[in-house]
Amino acid sequence: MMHSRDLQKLEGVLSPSHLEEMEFARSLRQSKVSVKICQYSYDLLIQYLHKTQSITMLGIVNERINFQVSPGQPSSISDDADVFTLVGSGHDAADLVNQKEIHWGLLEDSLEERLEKAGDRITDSDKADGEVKDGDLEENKKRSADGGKGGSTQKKLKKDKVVATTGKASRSESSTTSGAPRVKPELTLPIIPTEVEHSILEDLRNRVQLSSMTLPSISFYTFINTHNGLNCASISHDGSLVAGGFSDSSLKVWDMAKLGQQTGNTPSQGENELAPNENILNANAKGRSYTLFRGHSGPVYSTTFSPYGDFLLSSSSDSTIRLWSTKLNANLVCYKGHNYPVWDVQFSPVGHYFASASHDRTARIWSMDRIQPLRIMAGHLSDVDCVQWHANCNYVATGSSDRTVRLWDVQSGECVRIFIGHRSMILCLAMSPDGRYMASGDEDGKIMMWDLASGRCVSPLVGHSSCVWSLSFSCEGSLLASGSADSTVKIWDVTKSLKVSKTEENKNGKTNRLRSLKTLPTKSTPVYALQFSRRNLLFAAGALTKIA
Amino acid sequence: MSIVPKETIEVIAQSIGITNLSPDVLPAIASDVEYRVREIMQEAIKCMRHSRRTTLTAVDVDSALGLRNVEPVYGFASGDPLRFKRAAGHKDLFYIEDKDVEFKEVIEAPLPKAPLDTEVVAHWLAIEGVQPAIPENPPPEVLAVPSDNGKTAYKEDGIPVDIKLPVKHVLSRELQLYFEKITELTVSRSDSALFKEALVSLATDSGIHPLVPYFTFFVADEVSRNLNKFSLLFALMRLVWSLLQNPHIHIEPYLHQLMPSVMTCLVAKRLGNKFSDNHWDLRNFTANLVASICKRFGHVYHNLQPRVTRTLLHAFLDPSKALPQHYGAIQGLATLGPNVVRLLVLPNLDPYLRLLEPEMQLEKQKNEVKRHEAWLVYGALMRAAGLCMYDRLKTLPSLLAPPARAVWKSNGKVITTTSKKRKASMDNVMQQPPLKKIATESPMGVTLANSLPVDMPGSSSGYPTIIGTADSNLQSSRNENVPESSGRKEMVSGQGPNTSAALTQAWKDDVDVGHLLPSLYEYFGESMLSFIPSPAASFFL
Repeated sequence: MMHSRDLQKLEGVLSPSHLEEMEFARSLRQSKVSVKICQYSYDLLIQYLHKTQSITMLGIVNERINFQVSPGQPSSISDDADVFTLVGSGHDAADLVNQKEIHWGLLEDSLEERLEKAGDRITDSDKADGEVKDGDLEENKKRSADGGKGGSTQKKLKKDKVVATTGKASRSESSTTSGAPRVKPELTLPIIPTEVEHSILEDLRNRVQLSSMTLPSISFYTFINTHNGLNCASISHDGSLVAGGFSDSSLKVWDMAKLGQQTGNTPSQGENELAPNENILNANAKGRSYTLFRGHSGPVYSTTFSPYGDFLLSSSSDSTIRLWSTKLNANLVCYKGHNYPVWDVQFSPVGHYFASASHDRTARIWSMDRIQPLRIMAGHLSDVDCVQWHANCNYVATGSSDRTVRLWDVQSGECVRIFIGHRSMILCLAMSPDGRYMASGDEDGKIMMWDLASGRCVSPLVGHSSCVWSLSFSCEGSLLASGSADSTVKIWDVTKSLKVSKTEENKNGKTNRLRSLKTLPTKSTPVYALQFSRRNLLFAAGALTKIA
Repeated sequence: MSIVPKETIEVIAQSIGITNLSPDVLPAIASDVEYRVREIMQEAIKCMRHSRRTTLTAVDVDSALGLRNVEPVYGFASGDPLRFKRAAGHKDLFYIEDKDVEFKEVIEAPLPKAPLDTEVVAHWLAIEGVQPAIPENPPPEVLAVPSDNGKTAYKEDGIPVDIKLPVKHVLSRELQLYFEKITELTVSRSDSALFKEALVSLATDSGIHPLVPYFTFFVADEVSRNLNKFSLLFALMRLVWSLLQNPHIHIEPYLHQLMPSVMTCLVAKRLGNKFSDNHWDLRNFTANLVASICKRFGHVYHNLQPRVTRTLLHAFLDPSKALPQHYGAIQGLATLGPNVVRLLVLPNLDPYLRLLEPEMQLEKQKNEVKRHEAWLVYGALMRAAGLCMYDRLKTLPSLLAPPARAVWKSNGKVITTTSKKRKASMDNVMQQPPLKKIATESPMGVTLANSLPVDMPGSSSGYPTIIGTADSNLQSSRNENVPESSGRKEMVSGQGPNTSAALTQAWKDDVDVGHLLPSLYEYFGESMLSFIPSPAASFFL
């Protein structure tokens, strides 16, 4: 049941040469299988093997099986996920890798921190006499209130930048939501233009606080008449631009602000449109509602918008990545480096840098101004299918067809975590905004939540019946949205489930299910992309498919 | 051993011209073929996943072959999954139907329609977690099924899923403190400098939106309980004003709660209990407040301004109401704009003034306070009418055009004189159309106006004398007119139908200033002239 995919693969092995050729078979032969067994059963097994003089059997058992004998009564041991999965170099190596220290704290001097601080300064006096009881929710509320107060002192923010370093130590101690110390960026970060910064601050102040009680509004962008040609979709951070990558090598970008004008139905009303009227060169003259970007010579497998919506990256089966400007509507750069189709490309949270994942089993880090990759992450045993940046930009996570997720240090290019637990190809990844957790979705519809620090699965989320195409954390990290091929969007409660699973784990050692808050079915539209805007409006996109 | 039978290999080998294939090779090749095919299919599945599909298509196999650097199999590409048909008489044999197509037919057939271009449509999948029932979303019965599944799935866990708890509104401690501070200042220390600071904060702070319902309730509550505390009322109105100024808060949903309090402060009978309380200021302030609300939200709430004006008009036309209430109503109407004044106040000006006259005279109204009130009301009326007229004059473009001047001048003069003479009939003429107008606005207006102590036919002679004697402030020229009025009656009656037609038209939309000005002049005398811009004044007078 659990190994049906593996068995299917092994079925094909018909000659010894195939064993040599097949990556999976080789890794099986190289590593031992761990079996948990209780003392009594173990004794029985050994006794039997000795009594019957089955030397060959004993040899195989000794060579292949690594018994983990547990004392006590025989009991049905739960199917602990990582018992069964194999990595090339085995479990011990993975454990060793996972010993490495990682700093998952958020970047210091980030915009949000600055906003918090601006608010803090004003309400400090209030805080002093009010008791400091900081449940997650309360802290969030407070922050929103603080954010509001910050509004009147927008000018102060400027000064804050200069004085930021002085008050930092005290701030990071008092902050309870981000438990880890702030970290310094390892990459040189691009400078944010002031007007963009202001618009982001404005968005942050107007952010809706989401929790299990207050679910997000979801604006759904449906692609119609795609003729099964839509491979991927992505939505800009403000929801004003939607890009679709097609199997006919084309890339199409819709400006939702304009679309809204035509149909008299603006979904992104409250949203801040960064560049609503810039697309003067739009091909609208020909009666098309979108801007067509041509350049690739193979199906486009992934697109991603830069954080401020002015650039667009697309990766294609022609093994290139192309950078497009949404303002000029032109191709700027073509990045050649991968040798095989590039399955995924993702802009870093600060822009400028991006990561790509390819069939050539590597992930690569690029910067916009260089045509050669800055880092090549090699280690996966199969295709790297998806890639995602950590919130602090110092790490990149990759999901692979070898069913593992790895976390890489961007600076050193080293693998710092291996997450084992999925039973099929990993299709999407999402990082929580506080940098502490990661969610990964696989082909079977299972979503797993990982604690980056320990490398362990916090809790699996079961509910989707088909591939999970997309995951997205809400901006304050309390909700996780997942979009799937079973034409539903599911909203999961992150905070609750984390707490529950911890207590439950103590009780019966079982990993508990994360709590599903809401299932929102679409009209036969698989959900390809999800994106929480900075104001916590959820955008989703998918192609309407005819029911066969 | 393998699924691929030896015979197939043999047949394929023969088809490409290899006849001398050793039988030992066949099983080896067969097993390898199977392995390769499986491998390619697995790659094809990867390609399918990356194309975000769950159905394998020929295209995926092609791209998988491409990944292996093998030439793709041409001719099967299709966006849709292939349709296989079961071969008759066989259980496991499928084929793709390949129809014979007549070449001629294909050539002669009209061009098929171009496929529709890809489009993106947007809709709300959920609004705050609730899925709206719109055509873009699946129908509710479909919705019910998955949620049921969800319930059963989670029942075993003992976690209730679909129970929607009422959203608890949590106010942060800072906000609570802020609210308490502001309300305390409003109630007890509204004259301090700190209160001014508080108002500024209310008008600019972006974080106080959660407090808006609390403030609304606070205002409504305090106004209803403390109608005799003048300073508190004023402070509350200033608080409302500040809240309205704040660009960051969304006050519309609470307007319906705020408006009654505000209107109360405008037209209440008593505001404050001491004579020294300057409730006139409060009424002025509140009138401006009302106007600003109407201006800002009038286009969103279409019934807002009509409701406000109706309330004000009732207060204005009800003779049983106290004079301060009339004052508030007039001020309120005046701030709503000259059009409101023109349509609602001016038509009722004449009967109202008649009602007001006795109150203003020393001999008829002995009470000093009442007389003072009457004079203030008179002033408010004058200001309203004057501003209205000023507005009309201003919008008259030809006034400033020099060539038209002469013509206008003469016209103006003619009209002025005729209308002056027409004064007697004015009573009759003026009352008819406007009252009809009001009748459509509010049935109350008619009864109110009728209940006024005015006897229409007889008033023609009585009215001017009252004015003449009553008002030392009024122009002396008025007195000159008085004796003439009876003498010109015949003439006036001849002009009657004419002027009434002209007037009705005037009231409809574009008031002829030439008519308006003299009639106002009659009511208010020379003090009206200060409202007329100097060039215009020179034409008329």
